Amino acid sequence: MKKAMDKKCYIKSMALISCQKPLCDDWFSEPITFDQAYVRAQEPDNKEFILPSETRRMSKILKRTICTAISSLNQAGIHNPNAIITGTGMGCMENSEKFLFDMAKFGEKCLKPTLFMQSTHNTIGSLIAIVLKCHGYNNTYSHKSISFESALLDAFVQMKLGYIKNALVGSHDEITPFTSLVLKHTHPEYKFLSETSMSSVISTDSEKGVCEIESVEILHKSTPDEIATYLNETKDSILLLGVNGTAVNDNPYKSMIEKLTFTPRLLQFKHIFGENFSCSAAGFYAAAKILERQIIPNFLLWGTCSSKMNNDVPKITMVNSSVDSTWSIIKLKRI
Amino acid sequence: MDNLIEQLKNQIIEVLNLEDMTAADIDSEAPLFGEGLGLDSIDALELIVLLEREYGIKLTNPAEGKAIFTSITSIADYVSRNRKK
Repeated sequence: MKKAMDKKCYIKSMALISCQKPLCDDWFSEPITFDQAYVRAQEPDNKEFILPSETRRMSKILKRTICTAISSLNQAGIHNPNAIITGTGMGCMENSEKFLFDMAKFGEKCLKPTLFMQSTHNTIGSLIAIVLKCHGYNNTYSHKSISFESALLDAFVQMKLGYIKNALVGSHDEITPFTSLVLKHTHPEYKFLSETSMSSVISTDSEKGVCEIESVEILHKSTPDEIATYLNETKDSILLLGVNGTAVNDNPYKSMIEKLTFTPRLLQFKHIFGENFSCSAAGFYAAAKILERQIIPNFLLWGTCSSKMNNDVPKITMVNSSVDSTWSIIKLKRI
Repeated sequence: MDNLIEQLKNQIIEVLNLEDMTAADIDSEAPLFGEGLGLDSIDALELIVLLEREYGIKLTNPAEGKAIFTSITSIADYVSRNRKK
C-alpha cells in the first residue's frame, strides 16, 4: 500500500470560464475589475467545442461545462479520461428555477421534461460523459463551498492508490439574477457574486504538467487556532486565501494569521473571479497558473505584502474557510 | 388557419430552443421527426406539454401522436378541431 501511496499527482491542463475573459489567461496581465456586487460569466464561442444542434437543450452552465471540459482535455491530449469527477454547489440553477416557477404557475401538471431532466446536480458530470462517450467512474459532489475540494480529493486519493491514472476534475456553478437576490440574504458574507466553470485534467504523469498537487485536505468544524497550528508545521511561504474584504468572511482568516509563527506572503483571488460555491476552483486555477508562470501578479497580493520576490514561487498553499467552520487546504508545488 | 400555423411555429421555436431558426425557416408540410426539423422523443414530450398548456388539449392516446405530429400543418389541423382555449 505504501508504494501505491507514493504516486504523485499533477495538473496537466486547465480551462476557466468566469467574469474574466473566458478560456484564456488575459486576466493575468489585464484583469477586469468590477464595481457591481453581481456579475455574470463571460460566455465563450461554444461552436468551437460543440455543434449548435447539440447545445439547443443545454442551459448556460451545461454549455460552459462542455467548453471547459473539452478545452482542458484537448490541451492535455487526453480524450477519454479514466474518471469524471465534478463539484457543484447548486447544480443547474437556471433549469431548476424555471422548473419551480412553472410548477408554481401550472401546478404539477404540464411540466417540461427537459427542465426536469436537466435540473439535477449530476446532469453536469453525466453530460460530459455522454458527449465524450466516457464510461469510466463518474461522480458528483455537492457540498456547498467544498464541492470542488471534495471532487479533487476523490481524484487525488484514487491516483495515490493507483486506481486511476488521469481524471477530469472540475467545479461549476451558475448564479442567475434571482439566485443572486436570494444569496444576498442567505449568505451575507459574499461581497462580489459571480459564476465559475473550471475544468482540469489531473494525472499521475508529470510531462508538460502545470504543477504538482502535494496534498488536499478538508477540515470540518476546525478553529482558526487549529488551522494555524497545522500550517505552522510546514511554514509554507505563500498562502492564497479566500478573503473578500467583509468582516464576517475575513475574521477567521485574520484570527488564523495572528497565530502563525512565520510570516508568509498572502494572496487573494475572490476580488478578481467573484464568489459562489465553486469559486475555490477559480482560486485553484489562479494558484496553478502562478506556479506555471513563476510570477505573482501584484493585484493578487493581500494586506501589507511586499511585491518583491514575486518571481520565485516554489509552492502555494490555498486556504479557504466557510462560515460554518469548514476549512480546505490545497498545497500546490512547481514541477 | 394560417395564423395558427404561424403561432405554432413560433411556440415550437421557443419551447424547443431552436435558437437559429425563424418561423419562415420551417416548412409547414415537412416532417418534424427524423427528417425535416430532426426532432426526437424528448421533443415529442415537449410538444405534448405545449398542446396541453397553450390549447388545453390532453393527448390520452399515445397512438394518436404519430399522426398528429407529422408536420406543422397536421398539428394545426388537430389543434383547430380539438382546442379548449
